[in-house]
Amino acid sequence: MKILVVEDEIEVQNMIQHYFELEKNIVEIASDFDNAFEKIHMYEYDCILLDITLPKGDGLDLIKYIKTTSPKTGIIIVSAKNSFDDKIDALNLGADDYLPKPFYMPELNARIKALIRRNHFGGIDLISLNEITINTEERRVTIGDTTINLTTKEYNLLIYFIANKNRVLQKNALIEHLWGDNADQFDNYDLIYSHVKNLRKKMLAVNCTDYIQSVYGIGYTFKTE
Amino acid sequence: MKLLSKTNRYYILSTIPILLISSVFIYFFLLHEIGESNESILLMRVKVIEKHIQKENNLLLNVFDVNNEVYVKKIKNIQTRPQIIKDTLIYSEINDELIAHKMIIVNSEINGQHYEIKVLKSTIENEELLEVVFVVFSSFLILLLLVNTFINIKISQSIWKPFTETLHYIKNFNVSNPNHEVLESNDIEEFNELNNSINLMTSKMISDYKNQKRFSENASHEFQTPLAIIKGKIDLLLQENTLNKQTMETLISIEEASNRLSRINKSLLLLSKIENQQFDKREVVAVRPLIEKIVSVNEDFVIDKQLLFESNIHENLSFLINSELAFILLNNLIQNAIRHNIVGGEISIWSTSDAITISNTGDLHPLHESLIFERFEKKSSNSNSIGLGLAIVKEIAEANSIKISYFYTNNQHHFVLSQLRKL
Repeated sequence: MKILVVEDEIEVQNMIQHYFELEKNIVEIASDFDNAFEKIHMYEYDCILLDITLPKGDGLDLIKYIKTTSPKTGIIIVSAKNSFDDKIDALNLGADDYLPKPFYMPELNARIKALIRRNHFGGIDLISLNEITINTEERRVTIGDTTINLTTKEYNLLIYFIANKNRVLQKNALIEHLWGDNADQFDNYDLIYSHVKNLRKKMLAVNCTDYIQSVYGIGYTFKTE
Repeated sequence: MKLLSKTNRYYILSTIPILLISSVFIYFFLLHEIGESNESILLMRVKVIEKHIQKENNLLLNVFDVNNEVYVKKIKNIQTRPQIIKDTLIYSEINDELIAHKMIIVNSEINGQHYEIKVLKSTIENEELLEVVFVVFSSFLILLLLVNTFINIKISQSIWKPFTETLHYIKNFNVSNPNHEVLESNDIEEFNELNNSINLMTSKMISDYKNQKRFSENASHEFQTPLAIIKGKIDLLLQENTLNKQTMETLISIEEASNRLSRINKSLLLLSKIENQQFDKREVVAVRPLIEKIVSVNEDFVIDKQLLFESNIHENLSFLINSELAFILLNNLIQNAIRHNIVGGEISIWSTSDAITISNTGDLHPLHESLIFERFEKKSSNSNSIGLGLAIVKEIAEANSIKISYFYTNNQHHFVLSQLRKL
C-alpha cells in the first residue's frame, strides 16, 4: 500500500512514517503545498493523509486537485483545527474522512484500512484472518462456518482489533474509537472491559482461537502470532 | 430625561422669573410715567386758569366749571399752603359711579385777590391705557418665550442629529459583522472628534477580534500537534516488548495527562469560539429528536450505571440556536446527569412547550448555583472531570438568550432551560 503524508511537522511525519512502514507500507512525505502538488502529479497513491493547514497553500485546494487527477485515491484529512465548518468543507470537496489532532495511531490505522477496503473491493468487501471472516457490507462475522451475533460496539471493536493486530492497544484509544467525542466525559474503564469480555466470550463459544489478551493496566492486544 | 427636554426645562425655568420681574417693573414704570405726565398736565391747566383769571375771562372759567374739572374759590387771607396733588374719587353723574381723579389744589394771588384753584382730571383713560400696554407687552414676552423655545428645540434637534446617529451606530455595532461601516465626518467639531475616536476604537476592536480569532485557531494548531506527537510516541513505546510493567504504567500516566490536556484545550477553544460569536448560524432546533439522538449516543453509560431513564418532551419545544451548539448544550447536561449520578439512580427529562428540565439523583447536597457555572469549578472529585462542561453550557445558553437555572428538591438536581426571546 502506498501512502502519501502531507504534513509540515517533521515529528508527525516521522511518527506516521515509522508506524506504517512497520506494517509494510510505502510511505512518502510532502512537507508543503508545492511538494505535495508535485508528488500527487507524478505518482499514484492508495491513500493520502492531508493536513489542511499547510505552508505555501490551502490544503483544501489539494483535495480538489486529487479528486480530478486520481479519483480512486482515498483522502483522510488530519487537522488540528477540529472545526465543524472545516470538516464539512473538506468532506464536501471529496475527502473521505476527517481526523482531528491529536489522534491515536491505531485509530488512524483503522481508518486508513477501512478506507482502502471501501475503495478497492467495491461490493465484496471481506476481512479474513485465519478462521475469522467478516463481510463488512453485511456486517456479518463468521468464525469457521458459524456466524456469530455481535452488538454494534462488539463488531466495531473486532474490526479495530484486526486492523491493529499484534499491537498493544490502550484502553483510552479503544474508548475514543467506540464513543468518539463522548468518551471525554467518562472515565469508565469497566464499560470497555465488559464489551471486550462479551466479544471474547462470543468468539470463544464457537471455538475461535483466544486472540484477545489483556495487557495489565494498559489495554489489550489482538495476538495472531 | 432626554437632553433636549432637560435644556428646555432649564431654559423655561430661568426665563419665567425674568419675565415676571420685567412685567412688574414695566407696570410700575408705566404707572410712574403716566402719573408724572398727569401732574404736568394739571400744572399746565392751573397756569392757563391763572392766566384767564388775570384777564377776567369768566366765560372760559364757566366752561371748566360745567365739566366739574375746575373749582376756583376766592379766599380771604393768604394761606401759604403748598400745592397739593392727590388722587381722589369723585362721583360722576353721567356714569353713576365713583371715578378715579387726580386733583391739584393751588393757592395763588392774582391781581391782589387770593384764589384757591382746584383742578381735577379723570385718570380712567390712563388706567385703561396702562392695562392695554401691559397686556400687549406681556403677551409679546410670552410669545417670544414660546417662539424661542420652539427655535431652540429645532436647533437642538438638528445640532444633535449627528450625535443620535453616532449613538445608533454604537448600539448596532457588532464586532463579528464583516460588513463594517465607518462613521462619517460632519461639520460640528466636537462630534467629529467623537466619531473619529469611535472609529479608531471600533477598528481597534475589530482587529483585536480578528487577532483573537486567529489566535484561537493558531493555539489549537500549536497545541494539538505537539499533543499528537506525544500520543504517537507513547504508542510507539508501548509496542516495545522490552518495557517492564512500571515503565508501561508511567507511560500510561503520561498518556492520561496529555489526554486531559487536549480535552481542556478543546473545551477552552470551544468557549472562546462561542464568546467570539463564531457560531452565528442559528436555526430552529426541535428538542425532542435531538434528545433522542443524545440519549442513544449515551445509552451505554446509562445502562452501565443501571439508571432509570425517563423522558417526556413536548413535541413543539424548540430553541433558536446553532445546531452544533444545541447538541453540545444538551449533551453536556445529560452527560453530567449520568456522570454525577449514583448507581441505580434516576434521570428524568420532561418539558412544557417552552422549557425543558433535566433532573437527576446524585450527591445528596445541593450545589452552589452561583459557582457551578464557573470555569474550572470542580463539582466532584472525579479526576476525569475538567470542570468546563457547565461553563460551556452557560456560555452557549447566554449566547442564544436561553435562561439556565439550577435548583435542588426531593434529593434531585434540576437544570431548567428556557429561551427568553426568539430573536
